[in-house]
Amino acid sequence: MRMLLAEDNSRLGPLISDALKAAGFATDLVTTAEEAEAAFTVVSYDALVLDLGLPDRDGMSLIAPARLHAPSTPVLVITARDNASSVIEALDRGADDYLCKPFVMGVLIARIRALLRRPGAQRVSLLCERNVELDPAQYRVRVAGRDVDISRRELSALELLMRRSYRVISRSEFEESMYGFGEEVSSNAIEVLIHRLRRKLEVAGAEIEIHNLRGLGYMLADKHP
Amino acid sequence: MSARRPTLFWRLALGMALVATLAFVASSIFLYVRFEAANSRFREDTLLSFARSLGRDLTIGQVTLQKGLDRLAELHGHFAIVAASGAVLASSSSKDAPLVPIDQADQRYFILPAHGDAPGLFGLSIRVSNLEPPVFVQVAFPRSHLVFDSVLEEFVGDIAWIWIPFVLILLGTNVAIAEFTLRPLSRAAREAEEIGPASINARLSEDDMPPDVLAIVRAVNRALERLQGGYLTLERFAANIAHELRTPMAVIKAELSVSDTALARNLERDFESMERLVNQLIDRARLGGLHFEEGDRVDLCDVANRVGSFLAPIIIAKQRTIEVICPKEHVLVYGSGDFIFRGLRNLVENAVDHSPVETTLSVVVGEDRTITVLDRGPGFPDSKLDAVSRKIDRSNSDRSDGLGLGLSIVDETMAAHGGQLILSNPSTGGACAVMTFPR
Repeated sequence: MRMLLAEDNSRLGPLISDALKAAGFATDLVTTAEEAEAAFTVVSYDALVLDLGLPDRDGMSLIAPARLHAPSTPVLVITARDNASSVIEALDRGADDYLCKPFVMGVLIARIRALLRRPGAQRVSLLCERNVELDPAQYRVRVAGRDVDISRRELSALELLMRRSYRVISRSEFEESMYGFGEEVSSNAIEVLIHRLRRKLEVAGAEIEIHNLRGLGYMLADKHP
Repeated sequence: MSARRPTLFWRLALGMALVATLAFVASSIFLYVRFEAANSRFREDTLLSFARSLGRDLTIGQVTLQKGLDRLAELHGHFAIVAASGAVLASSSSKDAPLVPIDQADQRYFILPAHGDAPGLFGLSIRVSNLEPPVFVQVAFPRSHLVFDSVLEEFVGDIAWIWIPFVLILLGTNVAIAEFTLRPLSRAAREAEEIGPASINARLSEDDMPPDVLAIVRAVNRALERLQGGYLTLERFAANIAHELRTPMAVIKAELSVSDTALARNLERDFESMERLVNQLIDRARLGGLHFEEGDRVDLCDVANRVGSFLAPIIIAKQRTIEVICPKEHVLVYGSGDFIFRGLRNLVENAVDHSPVETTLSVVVGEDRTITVLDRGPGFPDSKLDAVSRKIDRSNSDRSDGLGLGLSIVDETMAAHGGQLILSNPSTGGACAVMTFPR
């Protein structure tokens, strides 16, 4: 996995770069938009991490050329501007995700992993979260190295949760992604499914847990001690 | 209490009414004076002609004289014919006395005041000198005599009855013209009345404005433009603070995350509250730029869901949980979604900080355009419960927990939306914060 990181801050750039390297990503650090553009036209990266406040040009102007050059390469924007218009502009121009400064390093790495797991950027076949592994190609779930008996529906629910861990997934998103058009979904089908899945993860000793947030949906996060 | 200042229209109307009244009074006084002069001359002429004809009649004979006296009696006149010696030769009254004591003047007008039943008299005494010895003829009529007054009074009355409606119609027309002329001004005033922090894009309309008013309207519009520029600068300023503060914060956070020591974990926790304070300061600075256009509608359920989803990872990490309860239908209000989001985020962050672990925070959207945040914590301090005392208390509030600043953000956000924040501590425990939006 090779990443391009464009960050002009002389302290933050190396810190992020080191953290990415520690997480197993080969990272090229550049400090100007010019260098960034030169880099992604030559090298085929797996993901781009762009800071918006670059010294020579706004990082926003890098998104479109990056998209043009490698349409399927995910672009994550890190920004100190948290007003909605900046976020909307970045996403509209083609960024896949954004993260506001200051952020937790672990979250940045989790977001990058999540972007790489997205369909279209099918580079990662194995999903990992703590001691839980999910292999979508082989329909297999392992907790702490041991196989867990799991149904197809449960597996696709867990896959959705793991692809977007630490984020809330609404009930309607579950219904849309797991059931086809015209397929009858009983009112508590999702609830029953998630309840079973939670039990199975708990029994298997998973270090992650599916949190049920009434009115919002479900979120996969660390299990409370 | 200050007296209300009259509007330009009322000043004009009042001025015109004053002028009309003045014109009416002046013309009335003029007519009255003219009438009095004409009336006196008419009386004097009448008296003189009666006295002279009586004088003539005296020289002609008894029969002619009697005719003249009869005519005088018909008109309720009084007379006395007095010899030069003062002896009364003939008189209309039973008393043998002249109407006035005679003197040697050829003719003299006199006024006799009323006494008892007898009316006041206005009379003339003349000397008939073609008789030897000369006699004095005195003639008098009651002062309020019909013959004198009625003709002129009728004339003056007619003039007055034409004059009053004329003046009134003139006044009405003037007032209507003033009202019509000032209409563009009152329209501009109405438009200006509706401009607030929420509609800084609005301008006074310049169409159909008379050129002299247009100058003011344009000046006001230019002023509004500068104010809008100020608002936008403030917003950019807030974005700049955000950038300037957040990058060094990101550096600190990244460095802490590299370290495995317990100290780093402690610092990370301390850092969180600083991060929140910075966010609150930015939110607070941004409030100056809070504006929404007419027709900007926000679904409170959508805001509650977004805030819930946004904060859920933090809330779960802090070992609490959150629920969002919405009615089946959308709950729409006029406002700025971003600012309502930040207000609600502040309330929920407050609730997270003040509620015990393993408890649930509830965000409830009401069909009556409310968002309620409930927690199981110790409740709000008494000084924060009342919006007024909150405002007073702010200067010396304990900001260590960011409660004062957070609540002031929500208070002002709600005020800008025409709503309010109501805090209470339910008897069942915990704290309850309600954002109430107007219809």
